[in-house]
Amino acid sequence: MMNFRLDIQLFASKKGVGSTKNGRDSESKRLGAKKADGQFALAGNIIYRQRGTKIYPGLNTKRGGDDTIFATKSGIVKYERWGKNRTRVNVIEAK
Amino acid sequence: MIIVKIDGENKEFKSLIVRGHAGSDVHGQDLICAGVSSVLTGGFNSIKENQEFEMILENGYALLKLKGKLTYHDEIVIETIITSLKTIAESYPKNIKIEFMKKG
Repeated sequence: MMNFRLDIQLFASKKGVGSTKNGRDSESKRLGAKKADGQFALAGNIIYRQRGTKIYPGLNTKRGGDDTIFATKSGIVKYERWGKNRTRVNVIEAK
Repeated sequence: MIIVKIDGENKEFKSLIVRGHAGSDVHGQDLICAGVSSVLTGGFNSIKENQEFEMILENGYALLKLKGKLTYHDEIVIETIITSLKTIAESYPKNIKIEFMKKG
């Protein structure tokens, strides 16, 4: 049995000193719901910011160029299931 | 950069101190360091009269210091260690440097 066991990197710089190629990210876009279910929305108000159609436009709502869903009439926001695995948002006009 | 400080050679050997990191690549791929580590570990293990020396071998630092009598066998072992380190330093001067301590 030897006095000293060989650590073949005894004179190497400390572990984990290597540099990383990661560490970059884009500015976050604050996507997601801007009006909750049951909340009142004015015509033109943004209801849901998204990329693609997580949420589909329904009654009195439309989809903008960047897929944002906005109200076309004033009223109460209502999210509902649509079909098997979709969700849409409606604005129910106050009577 | 690894610095090797040698005080005396052959029969006049007193001490050998090795400090630093080769820095030729990241930990785990540093070939110069592997060479130096192997030479020192193998050399230290070849010393017969351990009690005549103070020996330290740890991360980034090695010490071989004569405290007692230097036998012919251990003199040859130390000469081999020093020659091996000189050989590495000759090929990789940017990563390892040999310094001889001034006499007196």
